[in-house]
Amino acid sequence: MVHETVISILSFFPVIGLAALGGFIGQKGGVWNLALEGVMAFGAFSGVFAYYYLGGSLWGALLFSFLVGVVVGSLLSLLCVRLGLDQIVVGYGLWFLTEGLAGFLYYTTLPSVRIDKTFEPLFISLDPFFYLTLTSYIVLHIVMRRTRQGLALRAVGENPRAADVAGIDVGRVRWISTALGSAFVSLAGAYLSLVILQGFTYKMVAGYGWTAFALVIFGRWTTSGVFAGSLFFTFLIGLQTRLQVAGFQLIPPEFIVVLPYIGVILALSLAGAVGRRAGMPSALGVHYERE
Amino acid sequence: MEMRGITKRFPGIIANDGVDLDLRAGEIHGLLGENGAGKTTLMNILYGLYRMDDGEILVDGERASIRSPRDASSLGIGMIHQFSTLVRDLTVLENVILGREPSGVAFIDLKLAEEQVKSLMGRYSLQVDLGATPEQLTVSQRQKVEILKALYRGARILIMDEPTSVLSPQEKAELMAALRGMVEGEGLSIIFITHKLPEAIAASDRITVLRKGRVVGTMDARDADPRALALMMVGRETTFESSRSDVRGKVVLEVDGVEAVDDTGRSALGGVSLQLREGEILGLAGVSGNGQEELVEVITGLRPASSGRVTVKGKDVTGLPPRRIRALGVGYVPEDRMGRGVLPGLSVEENLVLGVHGRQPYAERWFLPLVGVTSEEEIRGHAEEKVAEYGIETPNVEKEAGRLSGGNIQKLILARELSVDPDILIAEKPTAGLDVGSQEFIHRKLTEGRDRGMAVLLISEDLDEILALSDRVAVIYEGVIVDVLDPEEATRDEVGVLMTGLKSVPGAH
Repeated sequence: MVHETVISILSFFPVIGLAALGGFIGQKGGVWNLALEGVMAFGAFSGVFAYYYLGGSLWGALLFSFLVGVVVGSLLSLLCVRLGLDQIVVGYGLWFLTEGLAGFLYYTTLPSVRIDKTFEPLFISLDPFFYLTLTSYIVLHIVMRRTRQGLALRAVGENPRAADVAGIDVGRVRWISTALGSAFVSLAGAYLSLVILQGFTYKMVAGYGWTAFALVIFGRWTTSGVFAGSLFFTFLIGLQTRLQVAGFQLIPPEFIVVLPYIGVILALSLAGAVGRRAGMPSALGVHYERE
Repeated sequence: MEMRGITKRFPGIIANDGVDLDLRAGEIHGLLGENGAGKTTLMNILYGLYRMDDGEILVDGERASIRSPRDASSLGIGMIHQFSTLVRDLTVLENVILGREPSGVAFIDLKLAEEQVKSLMGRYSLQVDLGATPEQLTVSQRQKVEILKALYRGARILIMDEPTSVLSPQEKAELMAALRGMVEGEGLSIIFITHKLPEAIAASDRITVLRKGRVVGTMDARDADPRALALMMVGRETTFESSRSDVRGKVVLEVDGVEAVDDTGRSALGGVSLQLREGEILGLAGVSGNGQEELVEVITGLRPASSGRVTVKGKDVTGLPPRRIRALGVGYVPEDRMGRGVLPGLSVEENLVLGVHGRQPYAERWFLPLVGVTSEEEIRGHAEEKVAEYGIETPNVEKEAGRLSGGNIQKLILARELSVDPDILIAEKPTAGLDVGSQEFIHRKLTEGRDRGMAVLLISEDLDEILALSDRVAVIYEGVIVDVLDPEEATRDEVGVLMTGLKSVPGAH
């Protein structure tokens, strides 16, 4: 019983885990992506869209959504990294745009789509995507520490001028990190619509994107911190659904629904009180230009 | 290495104008000049951070095209910048190899990297803890890491931009010894940028002096006459007409033994004492970065003094907030016009009443003027009057102040500061970067004010300006007033020599 509960809670992990991973990569390179929520929604839509038009392949739909994320991230990068526009303003704009567009396009281009396939469990009742998410974290952790790409990413987020002087193309690294980050976020949205909820509805992302954004801060911009935070929040969501399903009579359901978010607020306040800005990439949100 | 006819223009100024510089193998070449003389620009061109508009660079006799730091570094040119190029999040080792990591198929070979860097540390006797992060190191250790970084990239020519400005005297000596060792032991060549004459003489084999973007001369450091060098640095031509006042009233501003630290916590003022009298212009001469900025900030209340006292008209104002000091009749024309002088986003008329905007006749009690209230007209009228009087060129008084030209912004600031008839005016580089017409206008306004009895503290790097306007000249060097002179008797040679820290040179007081 306990075993099954844990498994079913963990099956939600890719949604939060991938979104936070994407947010992490983007921020590590020094660019805020405030559009996480919208990018997730757009990913959710594009997953369902591809599933419908590409003949019902889950993997194909997820891949398509990943690529859509690359495009959205590249747009953010064009505006913020290349043109140097304000990252907060662009991020908010992109959030509204992608979220609204996801809803609009869904209702205009698709009939009501019901996803009728699921992944077969790979190992202890969890699907391959769960393990893919885990692997992504491990790979990212190693990349950050042991490869030149990882060093370049950290340098660009921390001290772009130093990176430039060391011969690293700051604009290019930031473009790649923004696009790749956005791709993972989009993928998280697609997993949510295709596998978890098996369909698309407007506003289905329900704050998970913002949560992922907060988890990057909570995780102090470290892979292990973000990973732990994602797991923690996954459990809070799971707990909330369990409590709702169990029909807990003593606590009003409205309160149960907000539980995970209260958890995040508490965790964030705690992290904020303890570390303040520690770990934050120094050049996060700062546009870099040579002359 | 040789640079020929290097010219670099920035909007409005020529930073380098046909500069020639040659660097021999195994020498330390001092590049000497005042701030803004174009030293750093020249070196940024050599390092590929800026593109030159004209000229050519030869390395080992061959024409080199340097478009980026990467190009420079593959030609064996390394630069130690004034700003830190260390990444906080990386270890010292990672910082050193950043961008040039020895890698296998996918991973960095940290072991190999460590061996390589350790052998460099041994060869050049630069010892640092490779596992530490930059935050755990002292400034001079960080500098060593920067040098290692350059050496790791195979630098044979090291450009050091004001490397001593952040070091203590002992650290300076260590650095000099280390540099000497590199040059003599390993045949490196070093370009050493500085505005401090004694340092240039002590450290270099040859010295090139830059002034206003041009090379004034190159000579062997051994044969160099410090006095001649000082003059080359600060220039000779006189372009201002002088006018003096004999009227000296009572002391209105007294600075007594003031000590203060700069933004990085280093001592910037080491006990400055000054007296400013009614109806005089006291010129504060010095190469910038010798404590002028901090002194002004202490007087205006923008920076706390760690000891000493500032007295305005007999009242101790040390530690008072700027608003209270202003209220005592201290006007301030700051060097940073856009940052401190005006609110660039507000209109000309609004900027002209800043500081008195909350008072009659511009405001009613606590309120700023609302639409239709008479004081709005007061503000407009005041602005139009000042715009006419000071010849501020603006289409209308509602124009954003930040969109005016530099000269007009300065006139606006001066108009505002003088409109309340201050008894004391602190004028910080009031004509820097302005055209001749605006310069003359500002000089006239300062002398007119002085003739009315205002006391002016004029801070300037421009010796000609100081000598032309001042009734007395105080010279500041490394946070201390080294002498106070009468400009009628003092020659610019003497002042120049004092400014550049050559107190002990025969002939100077």
